[in-house]
Amino acid sequence: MPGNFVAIVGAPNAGKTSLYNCLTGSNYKTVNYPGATVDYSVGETQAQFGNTIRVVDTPGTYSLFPKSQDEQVTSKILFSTEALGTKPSAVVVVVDATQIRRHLLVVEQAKQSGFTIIVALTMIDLLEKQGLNLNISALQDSLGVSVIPVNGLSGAGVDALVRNLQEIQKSKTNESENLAHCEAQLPEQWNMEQHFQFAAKTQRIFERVIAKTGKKSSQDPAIYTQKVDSVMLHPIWGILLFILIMTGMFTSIFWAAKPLMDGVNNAFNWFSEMLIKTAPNSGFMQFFANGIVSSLGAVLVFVPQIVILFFVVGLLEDTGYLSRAATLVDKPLSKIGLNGRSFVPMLSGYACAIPAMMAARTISSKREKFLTLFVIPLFSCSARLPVYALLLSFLFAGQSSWKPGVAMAAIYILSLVAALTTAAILNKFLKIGNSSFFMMELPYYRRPSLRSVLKGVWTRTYGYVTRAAPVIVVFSILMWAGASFPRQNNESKLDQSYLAQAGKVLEPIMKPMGGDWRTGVSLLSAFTAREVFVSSLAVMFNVTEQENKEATQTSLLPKMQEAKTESGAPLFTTSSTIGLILFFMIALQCLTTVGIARREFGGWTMPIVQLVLFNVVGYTVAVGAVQLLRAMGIA
Amino acid sequence: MQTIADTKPGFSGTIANLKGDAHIVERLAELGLVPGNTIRVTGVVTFGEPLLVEVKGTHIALRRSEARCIQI
Repeated sequence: MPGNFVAIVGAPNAGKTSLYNCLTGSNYKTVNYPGATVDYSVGETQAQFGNTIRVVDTPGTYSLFPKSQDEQVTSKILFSTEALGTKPSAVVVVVDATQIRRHLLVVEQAKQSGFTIIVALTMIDLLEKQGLNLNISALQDSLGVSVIPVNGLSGAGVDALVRNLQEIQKSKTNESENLAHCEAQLPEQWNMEQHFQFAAKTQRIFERVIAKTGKKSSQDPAIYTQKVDSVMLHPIWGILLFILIMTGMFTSIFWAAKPLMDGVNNAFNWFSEMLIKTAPNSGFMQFFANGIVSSLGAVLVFVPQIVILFFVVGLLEDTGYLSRAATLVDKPLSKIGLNGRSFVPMLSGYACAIPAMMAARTISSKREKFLTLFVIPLFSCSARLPVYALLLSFLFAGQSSWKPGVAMAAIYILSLVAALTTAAILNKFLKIGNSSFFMMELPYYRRPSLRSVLKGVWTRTYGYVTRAAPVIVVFSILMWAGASFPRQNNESKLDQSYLAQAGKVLEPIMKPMGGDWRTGVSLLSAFTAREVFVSSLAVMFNVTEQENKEATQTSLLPKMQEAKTESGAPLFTTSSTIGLILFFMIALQCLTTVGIARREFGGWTMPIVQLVLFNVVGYTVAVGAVQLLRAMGIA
Repeated sequence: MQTIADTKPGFSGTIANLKGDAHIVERLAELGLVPGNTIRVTGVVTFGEPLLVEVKGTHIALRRSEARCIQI
């Protein structure tokens, strides 16, 4: 029956997602909640469990009274019919056995709301390691609902849970034909007295159902978590380890992603060349190979870096470290109007602004979310990397190889400074009320589940590709057409093309930056994707596309050194190259980011402010630097 | 009235009351910081904030402004 589904709810870190993965296997898809910007997951129970049931995984929530955007989605899935056409026929509340007193809150609120509930009890193995034992039938008695122990890693107990759900579905279908009239309603917000009484009640339940076994294991999660945290959250060691972990992470990402990115690049270059060889004179094949295939390559070349970054982020998240990292940086970030929770989105911004902006949804304060979204485009995303690489190897041509490395690190640090400064300045002028809170739960450290980490990587990467690809492909095709037309004698001449004409209009703007129409065109084309700057410079200086990017770079460098302006002076000098680097560091050229920003801000105003402001500031800084360097006698 | 913000790491005591911004107080209560429960201050991170507290086996990091809502 359509519209009939079971919702899985529970506090963050309760083991909800592992359970959901066991229930559905790979039969799920991620859906965007209408009007909101939070994704949730809808799936079907695996065939091995018999009759399938539709299950919905909701964002983790501490209570049914939402405090952030993602918690709001959970509340809407339960109490409004707008997303799924009906309220859930049953609610599975996931309760971590080691946190039972706190996690019973959602059980109680769901019960008061009038839902049919099953409690799925997780982490019983951890409870046993603490030397405790839980009496399930006593808990069932106390709560008045079925309690089913499950293990999200091994899948034990999941079949029993599904059988229970199937029975509920059956009895409901017999009872009434119309499930859309579920009467569940959110109860009144609790006052302090109710919280107080409920705490006393859960304490009584706790004393009734939990017994000491006397077999406390050395692997008691509470004990090793405390031991690890005494170092990880230590006033001195904590921050040093944080810096070490983050540096290690970035170094390994660039090191590991590079061969893969080159591989993707080579594959697409080879494919498009091969296509052209099959029909060298076909205009359509030219268009297909250079316009479509190459622009798809431009989208996919970032996939390795995004996959690796989110894999590492997912691992850190799953072990429980990221909530510690957020705790460590909350104080400095709060000084400039941000929150410890801004940390993960900003970190993701180094890979790509698109998933980074989506990660900002967990920030509950409107003001802090706003500031975080605003500065994300300033973090140096992976698309800027090839541009920096080219410009730095030009700047340090023939010098020892550590110099460009140090310069690259300096660029990354400078972009961090730029982002944080922007936040600090905006924080002074922003007139949005502040109801900021941090209050971060620090879960027990645990072994990460590879499956859920990989699932997170897949969701984020898929999100990037499906959102970025259409925009980049459309603009690449426009750029390709601009560079190839009008045709003369059936041949396209770049310096006569529409794109070149546009570049010549731009020339007066480029001059103060030390550029000419060719750099102008390359900058224009970078609006499809920043790294297109490199290939379009190559086209500009008549470098035929080489087989791989490194070869393009080495043959492009001498061309850049030879390039002259109309007056005969060298085009690429120390000052103009530094100007370009600064421009790329600040300017917002990625139109996909603008589109995502519209969704996350909920309107066009802020994305347009970002687009104009970052480009104007980037240009001004670049011109300022070029003129200053020239005044100092550095050409 | 003394609050958790006035205590030092190693402190252990009973929560007497929650007072302050309704949004914050509600979330504190939902995290198990309810009057009557025992609270332990386990540490402070690098910049003097957040405070690390433990209530009934749950570890939570709190800003000082949030800790000020917890009277002891």
